Amino acid sequence: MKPINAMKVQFEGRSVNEAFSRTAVAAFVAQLDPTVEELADIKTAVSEAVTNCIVHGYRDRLGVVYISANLYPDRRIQIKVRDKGCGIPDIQRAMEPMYTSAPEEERAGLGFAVMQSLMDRVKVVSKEGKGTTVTLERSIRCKGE
Amino acid sequence: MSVQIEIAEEYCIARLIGEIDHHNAKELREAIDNAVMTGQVQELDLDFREVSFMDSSGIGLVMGRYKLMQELGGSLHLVNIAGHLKKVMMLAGLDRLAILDKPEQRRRKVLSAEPASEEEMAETRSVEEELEEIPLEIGGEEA
Ligand SMILES: Nc1ncnc2c1ncn2[C@@H]1O[C@H](COP(=O)(O)OP(=O)(O)O)[C@@H](O)[C@H]1O
Ligand SMILES: [Mg+2]
Repeated sequence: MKPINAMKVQFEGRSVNEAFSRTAVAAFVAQLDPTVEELADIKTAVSEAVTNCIVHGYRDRLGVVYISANLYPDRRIQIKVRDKGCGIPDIQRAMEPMYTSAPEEERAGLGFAVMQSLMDRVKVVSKEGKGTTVTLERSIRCKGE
Repeated sequence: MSVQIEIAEEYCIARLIGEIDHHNAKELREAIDNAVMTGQVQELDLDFREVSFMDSSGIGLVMGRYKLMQELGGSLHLVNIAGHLKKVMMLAGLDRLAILDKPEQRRRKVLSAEPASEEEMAETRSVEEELEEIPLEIGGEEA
């Protein structure tokens, strides 16, 4: 299916940009007239994915975070969040609820669990030393449906 | 993001304001823990009324304060959790810790630093009276 609209944004992986990134995606999704709840779900999932790029992907260096979002005619939104950081050695383990490789900073290990429960689909592709791409998908319901 | 902290004896209420994410969780954590340690707090309430956004960094913040209060032999309660925040907290299983949504009347009144007027004193006493009455209501005879 061809997207009816698309956007890309990239920014330095500074934690202050976590708020910028989720707000930018929310502003793009707004054209589908989502409910407050749908918008909160999407913002939360994007915040989790972007935070992971900054906290884990680029552990102790500054790197660039890339986001792209596509809107499809069936009111589906697909968001890709990507870093060129350290990558995830064991994706299955990383996605287990409560697993975190950084407990010292009070990470709850629930980022992927949150993404999975708020989105329709979450896909993770990663290569050690190359980086990670998280794809989030969510259908926005037609109001009054 | 900011936090307003009020302490009265060993009770502390921290009112969180704004968005809770990884970027500002550390600052909140330090402010709250500092108040708890210096005030020798035994009962900590985190008020989420003015929180407009929270991701799993907020769960980390709550879990960390839960552990801290346990270590100190005290207690933690979360108040004014609604909508999106409730959803994120439920999916993290925070409801299982029995710290969510402390009933309004159970909250202790925070005494202001200024000497209370007589009216306020009277009000304080009536809150205490309410507290006394709570056990009677549990499994009460009301239809
Ligand atoms: N972009 C990423 N790059 C490298 N590692 C990642 C990335 N995203 C997630 N991870 C790994 O997956 C683990 C689980 O992530 P998550 O569920 O968000 O929990 P948390 O961020 O609290 O640790 C992380 O601790 C980290 O080891
Ligand atoms: Mg995370």
